[in-house]
Amino acid sequence: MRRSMDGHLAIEALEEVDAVYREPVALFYLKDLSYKEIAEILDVPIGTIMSRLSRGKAQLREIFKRKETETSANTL
Amino acid sequence: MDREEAQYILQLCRPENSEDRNDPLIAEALELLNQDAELSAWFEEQQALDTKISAEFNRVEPPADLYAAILAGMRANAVQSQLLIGNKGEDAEQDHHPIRFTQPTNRSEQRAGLRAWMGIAAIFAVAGVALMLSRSEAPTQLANNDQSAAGASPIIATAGAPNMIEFLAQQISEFNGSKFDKRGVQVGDLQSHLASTGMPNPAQIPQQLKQLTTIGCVTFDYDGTKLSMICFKNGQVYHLITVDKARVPIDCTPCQGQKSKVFEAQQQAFKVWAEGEQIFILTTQGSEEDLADFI
Repeated sequence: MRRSMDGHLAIEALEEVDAVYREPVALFYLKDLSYKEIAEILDVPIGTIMSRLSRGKAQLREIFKRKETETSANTL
Repeated sequence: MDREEAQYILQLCRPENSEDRNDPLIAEALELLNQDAELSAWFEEQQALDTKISAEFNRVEPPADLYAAILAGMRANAVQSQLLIGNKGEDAEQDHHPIRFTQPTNRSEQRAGLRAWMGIAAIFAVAGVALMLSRSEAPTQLANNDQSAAGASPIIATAGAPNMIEFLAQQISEFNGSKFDKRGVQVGDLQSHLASTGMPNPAQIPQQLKQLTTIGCVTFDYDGTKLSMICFKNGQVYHLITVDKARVPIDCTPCQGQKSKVFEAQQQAFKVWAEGEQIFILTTQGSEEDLADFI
């Protein structure tokens, strides 16, 4: 049976995201902030945040999928 | 807006969030979903994954004031770095916001919850320090422009971009595919077209750009100065602009000894460098980080 990831593995995945992308990505998922709000809070140009979110989310998704696969494999 | 641009923007759209869907930029990208089944399928997959990731984070219940503590810590770090004060340790202690965890229902849940959220706290602590250090270094870098110029590092100006850069940013923002003077996937064909029409034709094209497919080329007139632009595609769209060196305003060109200059305007990054009798400007949507592969 396939076991779902728990919150701890999600956080582990976030830790593996490159540091420069981690803050905007964390605020996107954890605080549910818009890209404009994140830009304002971090005091970074909107274009920079758009770029960091795009790259950071792509990284997190890949790490997330990998960990999900590993977790599934370990439970077989 | 083409599919790649739409994908870039749609990643900013939070699942089932009406505020995002009303954002003009995101709304424009969302409109393409009705015309592009492949893009629509991609977006559904991304939204499903975003929903899943958000749900996984929500499975560990944070203390009520954790978010506020994180944000307060980040703001404090930002202020601290701007002031460039010396006794960081003492001030960091003053800015510390204790996070209170609720009593757990059992000990294993308590350990799990603490571990997870201490992890998040650690992430932000590290990020805060990194932010502080990077910002602390920034004024030094700016103060030593001449030293930087001697090396390979480009000078980055994120505010007060020259008028020509602002002009290009505006033209590119308003640009759509129907305005191309010539479309083509081979850069050589586009160069031949520019040469035959007497427009600035890049004598050299960066090796990394040569490996990309082209979309087309177009020319602009900036206050009597002709600029040519060739657009490349690689998931993201890159524009290489060429102009005669003698016609480029002084505030836009790299100073003597500088290899290049980088500007940001209208959510686009511009790298400017000189080679021979031409000035080249490479630009893409995003920040200078998005030009890293070419710098």
